[in-house]
Amino acid sequence: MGAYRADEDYDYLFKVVLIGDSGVGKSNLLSRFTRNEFSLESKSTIGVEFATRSIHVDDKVVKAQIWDTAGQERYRAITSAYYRGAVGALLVYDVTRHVTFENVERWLKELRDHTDSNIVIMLVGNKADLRHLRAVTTEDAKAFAERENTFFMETSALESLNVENAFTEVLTQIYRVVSRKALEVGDDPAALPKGQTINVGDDVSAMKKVGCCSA
Amino acid sequence: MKNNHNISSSLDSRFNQTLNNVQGLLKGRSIPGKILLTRRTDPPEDPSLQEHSPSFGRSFSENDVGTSDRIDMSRECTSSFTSSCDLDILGVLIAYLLCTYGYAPPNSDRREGVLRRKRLEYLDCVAQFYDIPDTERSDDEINMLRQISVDCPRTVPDVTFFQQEQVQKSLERILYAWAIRHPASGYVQGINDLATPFLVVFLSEYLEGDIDNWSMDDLSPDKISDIEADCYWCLSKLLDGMQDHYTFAQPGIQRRV
Repeated sequence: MGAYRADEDYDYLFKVVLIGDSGVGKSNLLSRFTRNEFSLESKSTIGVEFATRSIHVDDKVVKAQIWDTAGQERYRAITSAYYRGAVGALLVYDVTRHVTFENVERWLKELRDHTDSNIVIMLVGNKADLRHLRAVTTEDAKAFAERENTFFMETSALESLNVENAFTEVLTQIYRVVSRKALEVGDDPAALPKGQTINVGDDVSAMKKVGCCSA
Repeated sequence: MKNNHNISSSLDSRFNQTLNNVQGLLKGRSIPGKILLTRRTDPPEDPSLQEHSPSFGRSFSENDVGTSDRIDMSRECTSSFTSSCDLDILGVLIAYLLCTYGYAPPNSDRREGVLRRKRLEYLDCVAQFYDIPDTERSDDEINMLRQISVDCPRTVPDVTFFQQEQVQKSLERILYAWAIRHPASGYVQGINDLATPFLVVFLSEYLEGDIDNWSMDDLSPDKISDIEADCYWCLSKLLDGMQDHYTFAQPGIQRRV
């Protein structure tokens, strides 16, 4: 990933994944952050999409490559590779649908099973603009985040509330982790944390084999 | 279903209207299923169509001679939209249309019987599996229904017709009935997009003019359930050939990449 250089110049490239149940607003968070766009008429995401945006942290340019995927469980098998190399994650639920909050635990488990332990995770309660429909209290979510040692923020992609903050916070935290690691290693500042190449689940390698052999 | 005279007199305009609607719907969209469909500029002669359900195949061959003019028209229509993958789907749709519903002369009692039976079967399925309280559903079924109900309002969101609640409910019933009857995959995101062209095609038999002016209120509940049934069976046929695109780990897609 360090070798990946696009047209623009950057000091760090961080892969961040968006996860969470179907319809919680992952794609709109992505479009709000990367293109400042929001669509009430969005379609469900099939497979995987990603977008990038660069921000400044300290005096460095941090380029975020943000991956968005279908929320339906069926797509998990094919997108386990999705987690590979991720150094940050926004775990999104919908504050108006409690079941999406209940499922956060499962998402968290899957995330931790497939990524490095240094990954920066933020729990995101989206659709905070729908105040009259709220089904998950801020306190419950905050308590959960503290227990699970993740960051937490409530956002509204529609009202552009906290979206910038959520991504920026995650990227800044990743930057702190990486630069601390770099200090420890003592050399190449562009190197990502040692844990970058991660144990990917067995099912993924099995799947890759299928893909290669039968191509 | 319309009678024969009605069909011949208004066939041209209706057919073109249908084509326009379907084409507009498909334009610029990526349909997950299209990679499996080969171009069918001459759909009725494609042998694979003969083997679609026994009823569909048979009814077509029985009407083979009588429909030759319509076949030519479909060829003309499809070939005028060249070099588009959407065409393939259009071809399949037109083939279904020609050989099953309305556009072929209804000279076969057997086909009428089959249609009636298939529509009843769909109705039974809906009554047995959809029109029940959640307490009678398994957790998996509840999750599946939830997934479908999340996706229906997000289906063809840029066409206002699909924002009508009745349209979304029809879609929900079709998808849920299919999912229940196909437990190997169940409902998978993207299947909703495959159902919509059928819905438009069959609705266009009864709703006039531009799709933006359509209203489900113009249709009787019986008519709606017939249309749903027809969509359901066509969707089933379409997906029969690529179900492993949707089963766990999607081996059908893996094989193609």
